[in-house]
Amino acid sequence: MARNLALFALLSISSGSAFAIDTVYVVDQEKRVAGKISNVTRDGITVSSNISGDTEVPTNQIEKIEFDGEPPQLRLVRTVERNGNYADALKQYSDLLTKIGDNEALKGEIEFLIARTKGRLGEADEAARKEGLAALKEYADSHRTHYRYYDSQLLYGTLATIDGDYTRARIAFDSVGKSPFNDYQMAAKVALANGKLAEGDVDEAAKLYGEVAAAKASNSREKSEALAALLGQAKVQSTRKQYDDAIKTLNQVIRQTTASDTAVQAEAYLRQGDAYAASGANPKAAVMAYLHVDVVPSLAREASKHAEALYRLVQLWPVVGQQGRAAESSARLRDLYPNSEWTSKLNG
Amino acid sequence: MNSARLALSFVVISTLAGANIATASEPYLEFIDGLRSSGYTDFALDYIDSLETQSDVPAEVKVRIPFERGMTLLRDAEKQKNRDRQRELFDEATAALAEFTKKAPQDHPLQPEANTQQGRVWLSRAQVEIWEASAPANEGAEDPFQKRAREYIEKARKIFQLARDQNEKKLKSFPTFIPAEEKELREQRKQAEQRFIQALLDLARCTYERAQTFDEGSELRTKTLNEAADEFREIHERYRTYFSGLYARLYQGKCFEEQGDIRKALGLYNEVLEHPGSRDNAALNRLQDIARRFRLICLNHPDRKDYQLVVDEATNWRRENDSRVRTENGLGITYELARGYENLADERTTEPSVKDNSLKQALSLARQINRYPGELKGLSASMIQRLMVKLDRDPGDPKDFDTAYGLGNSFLDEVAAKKAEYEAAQKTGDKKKILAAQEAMIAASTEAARMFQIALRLSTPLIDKDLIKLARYRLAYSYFLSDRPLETAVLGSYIARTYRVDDKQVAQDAAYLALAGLDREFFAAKKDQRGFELSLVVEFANQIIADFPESGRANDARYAVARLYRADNQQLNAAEWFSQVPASAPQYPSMQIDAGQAYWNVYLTSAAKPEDERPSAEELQNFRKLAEQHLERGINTSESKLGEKSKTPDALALAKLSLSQIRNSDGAYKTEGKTIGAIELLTAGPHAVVKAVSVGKDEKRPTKAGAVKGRAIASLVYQQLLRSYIGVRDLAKARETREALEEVAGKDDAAELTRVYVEFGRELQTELATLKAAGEKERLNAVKSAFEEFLDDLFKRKDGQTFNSLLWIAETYGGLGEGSEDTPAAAKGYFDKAGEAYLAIVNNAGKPGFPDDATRITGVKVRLANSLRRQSDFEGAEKTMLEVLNELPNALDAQFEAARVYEDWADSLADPDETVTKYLLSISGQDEPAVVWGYNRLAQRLRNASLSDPSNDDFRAQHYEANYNVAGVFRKIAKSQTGEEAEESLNRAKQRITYVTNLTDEFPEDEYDRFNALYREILTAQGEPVVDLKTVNLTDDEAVAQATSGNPEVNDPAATTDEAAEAENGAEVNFLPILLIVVLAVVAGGGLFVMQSAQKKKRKAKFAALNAKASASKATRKSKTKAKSPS
Repeated sequence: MARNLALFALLSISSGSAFAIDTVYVVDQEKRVAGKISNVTRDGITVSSNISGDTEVPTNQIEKIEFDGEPPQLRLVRTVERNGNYADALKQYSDLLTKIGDNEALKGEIEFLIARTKGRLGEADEAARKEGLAALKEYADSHRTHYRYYDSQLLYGTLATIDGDYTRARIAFDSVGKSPFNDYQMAAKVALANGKLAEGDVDEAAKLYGEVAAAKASNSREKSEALAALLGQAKVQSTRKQYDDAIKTLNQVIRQTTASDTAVQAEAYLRQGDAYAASGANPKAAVMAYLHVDVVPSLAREASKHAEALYRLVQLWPVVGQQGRAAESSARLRDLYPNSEWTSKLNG
Repeated sequence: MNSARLALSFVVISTLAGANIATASEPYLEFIDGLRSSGYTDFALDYIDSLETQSDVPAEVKVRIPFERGMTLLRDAEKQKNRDRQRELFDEATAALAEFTKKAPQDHPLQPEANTQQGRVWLSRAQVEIWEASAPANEGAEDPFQKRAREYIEKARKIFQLARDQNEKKLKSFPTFIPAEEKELREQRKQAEQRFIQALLDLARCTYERAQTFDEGSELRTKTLNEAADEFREIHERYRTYFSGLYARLYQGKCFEEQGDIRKALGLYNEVLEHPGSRDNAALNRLQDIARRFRLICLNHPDRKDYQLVVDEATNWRRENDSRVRTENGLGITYELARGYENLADERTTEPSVKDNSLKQALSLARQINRYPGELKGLSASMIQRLMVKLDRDPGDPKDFDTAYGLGNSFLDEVAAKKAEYEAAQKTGDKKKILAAQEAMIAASTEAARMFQIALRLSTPLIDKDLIKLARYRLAYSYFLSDRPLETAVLGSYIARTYRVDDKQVAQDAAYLALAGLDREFFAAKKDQRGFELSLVVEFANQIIADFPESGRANDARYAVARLYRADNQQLNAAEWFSQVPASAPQYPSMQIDAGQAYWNVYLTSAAKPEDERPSAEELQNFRKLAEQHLERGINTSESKLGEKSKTPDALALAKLSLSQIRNSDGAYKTEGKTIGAIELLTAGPHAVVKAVSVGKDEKRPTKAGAVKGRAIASLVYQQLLRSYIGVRDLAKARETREALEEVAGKDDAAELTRVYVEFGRELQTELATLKAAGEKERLNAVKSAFEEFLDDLFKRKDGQTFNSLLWIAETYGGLGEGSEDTPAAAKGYFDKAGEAYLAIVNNAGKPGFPDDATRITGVKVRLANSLRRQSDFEGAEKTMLEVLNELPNALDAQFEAARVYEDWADSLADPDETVTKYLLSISGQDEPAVVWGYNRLAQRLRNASLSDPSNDDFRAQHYEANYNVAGVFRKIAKSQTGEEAEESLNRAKQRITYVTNLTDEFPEDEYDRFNALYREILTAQGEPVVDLKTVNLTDDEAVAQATSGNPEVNDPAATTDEAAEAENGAEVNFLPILLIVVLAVVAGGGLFVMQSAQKKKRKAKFAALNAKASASKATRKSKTKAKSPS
């Protein structure tokens, strides 16, 4: 069914309308679907146009939507969020929500963006985690038929994993795994495997990662999930102390990611740093790997990963004779992420 | 370092540094840029190196590697504190960027950028020189740094100008209208336009940086800052809607701020801050943050004191821009906020509670800033310590490192303030104030040292190692300021050793401090006990050179050692150390000159040594050649760096003077080929020596020894010039120069003028002797004939002759006569002419131009007698001398001349009886018709005079001379006798010699040599075994006793009864008349005795007369045999 929907969408994309109200950007496509969003389900949206009629865009094909009557600031706030300034973004999204009136479609989108931002804040900030979990749960519960449902569940599960609540995480991932879309299913499986690994069930995690990695990836989202699985396999290798293999696998991940796969890439560098550090052979290479997440702006935007990178650097700078830099990294970790678990670790 | 300036320069660099970063799966370029921006340039360089060896790196990344390396090296250089390392890194950055421009395809989009970056490297190099110029260590020696900075800026300007022209051309090549569809073409035009504007900005920045190369507050700096402001204004006016236009506006404001026009600067910063734009425009935010920072700096300025406004505005900014608080400019704004709080607390009117709170706020903010790397880390660390001190209410000694360290720094600040007071007091000349300020300075530095000692005692492993290092360094510095040189040296050398790997800059600075301490210790030691200090300095300098061979401090060390060797009169060592300073060093020109002067000094003093001690002719020639080479190099490099209108440095003028001496002695009077002649050296602009020694019409010449405008040096310059014009037979110029020489030497100071003339004659004599010794007959004849021609011309002119001109003619003829001893006929001719000139003076006494001064005329008569004697006209000479002695019986020099007349007369006679009679006259003198002392009574009086005034070297020398002559004449008498008579005379000669050699334990070596030679001759004549003369040292008391008993000077049977009686009362002899008459004789006759004495002593320096400064200084009388160059 997903395949049919995708085909349907592709056939409709080129039919731009002079009377378009909402504009849907489609994954991997340059052209957009314009019209009025007439129907919203968990698996897709229907865009109606006087010229091209109704066009269905499946959920996994929605890159982003520009809504009719959308305040121009919304685009800017998205940039703020993308830049990792979650606190600023949250404040501005909340402001916008009070200004959009009765536009339900837009309201649903902004509510998701608020929940997602809270979730992001919770990733790096232990104190904000509960609020993030609550916001995502509330969103998912109140938007069960919304195209952002799977995204909210995935994020909720990820946050729950970070919080150590593997049961809730598994439930959330299961719900995503039931989606009709291959990429979401792959994502759910990878997320589940991450949970298993965090729980200490290495074999199960290895099995799940293996399944995703072996699956055929035909579009960018699927490729991205396959890479996430490859990354998972590297983590398994590290856990099994197969550091050289892990480093090789991680190099593969890094080379195959695209510029937009910042979360995967940041994670890959972190794990590569771990592998180098654990092998003990080349602390400077470990520092170099962690530094990627600290100094490459697109990777440093991944707040929780950036916090972790800073923490690791605090530990490793003295090993390479740079005590002064350790103090600087420590100061920045405390300053940027005062409530992060990594800061707590540092203080503890 | 001016933090605001650094931030400003970074603006331009960073706007382009991040451009054109390609996206790839692995963020190669983003990572390099990130490492660079974070200051991890070491890791960035390692990463770049690793990319070079990896085979799977994309080609578009590989091709950029040299460019990225160049950019990283540039950034690395900018953060370096070690200036030498910084310069190396600039070289490497330039090389890497050049490699990129060479290897990358010519149409690579980064090609223009790589060129521009090379210009920026030059600008950064210039900044380093500007910082060096403002470093306290280089106070007073800013010139070379500032000049180099201007050179570098011009190199940058050339590159930017080319970029500007190329981009302008390219911009003009696009059609005026490009349809919207032609995106690529539009993009190309946009890029060309951006590059064009960037080049304009770069050019304006060159002008801005050039302004920094002039002294603060100088007209040139203000003028250039205004020019820069105009350039930025033009850019802003043309491109006000562009981002670059706003940058230009910001710079324009900075130009006004640096001129102290805070109001205007604030107006422009406000304009930038009020520029409308989206708050999410990162570039605009960044620009406005810089403008905010600059605005706060202005508000914190002492002229504004808007501290509360700073606090309010910065606090609001931090609240509203949380995400940018930790950026470089965010930290800058926070730093200004902390300063605002601190300033607020320092206000007298601030309530105590507010004061305390403000200090705490400032402390908290300073600690926040201190967590981040960058230029503010050090500043905030100082602030923390300062605030700790301000908040400390405990009156006792500090209890923690921070407080003690902060207090130490506060005391050092106080030292700086006291230093300013001391300098101000020095200008007033008020000794009490000077002493008080000096004492206050030492007290504050002593307290600073105590605090740093406490801080170091209280340090724990948790204290930042950098702070401990600084505390050590500042302790050494405080020791130096509180005049504890040995402690400075010990601690300085410890720091230098400890940090020579980890922090070369601190290590080098500490090494320099240690050297300064040892230098002070050297000069504090007694002159003859400096060996230990000198050996320490040499050892330490060698260590610095080994540890930091290419550094500026290595050159400082070389200079320090050379200077001390020079002060210790070890000229050869000094010359060798001076010459070690490499051509790349800023001190090179002056060190070459110093080396040249030292070699010249070595040459002169070595050449003046007795033959058996003198170095070989080859060695001497080598010293001379080295002197010439170094002087030439020093002069050329100094002049190449001097502006045409710049004042001629003293060292350059003196170097040219020394080189002109060398040239004159070579006969190189005029320029031939590449060899600049003496005349051009002295007269050719723009740095002519004659101009350098000239003074204004009513300006007095300085009396300080060695001053270039002083009479001694100026007269030496004209002597050399006169010598040159005579050499080229330009008689008109020579006459003109002689008159100028008279003017310079001081027409009204007869003694000085006469001294100059005599000196000139001696120089000529020396030159002739040198040429003769070298077998250069042709040149010898040429010199003689040139002088003769000039003198004849001058003498024949009846009009305008004066006492001075005739005396000059006479003395110079005398010099020619002395130099022609091997051709008696020629010598006689010259002495004839000299005599004629003297006679003319005597005959013209009282006429216009001839002073009616009996004393001076008497002096001339002595010279006349000398000439007559030289012509073998002994009767004429005797007559003249008896006249003189009737007038001035106590004239020491006249008495010597009279004794010589009788001795030379005796030499010329054939009849043995007559001969002996005349010889005895020369020894014992006579009382009628005038009192002639003879050598014996001269010896008695000089012996007594020496005992009365032991410091008078002249008396001692003349005493030896008189005794030697007594012995020598007895030896001659013996030759005219036979049998017992001859034996008796030989015994008397021998007795006189042994007496003299036993007089003192400091029998001069050169005196010993000639006495010994005579002694051996006597032994030979007596048929006794020929052995060397033995000396028996006497105590002073014994010497005094011997002066009155058993003294052959007294007991000599040749002496008359009256003389013996007089000598028995030797201790009561009235020395004053003798002394007075000697002085008068010198004043009148111009050191005639000195000259005769020197002529007699063939062993004495042939080259002494070549000495410039020594013979010009007052000390000359003491150092007849010593030669010094004008250095």
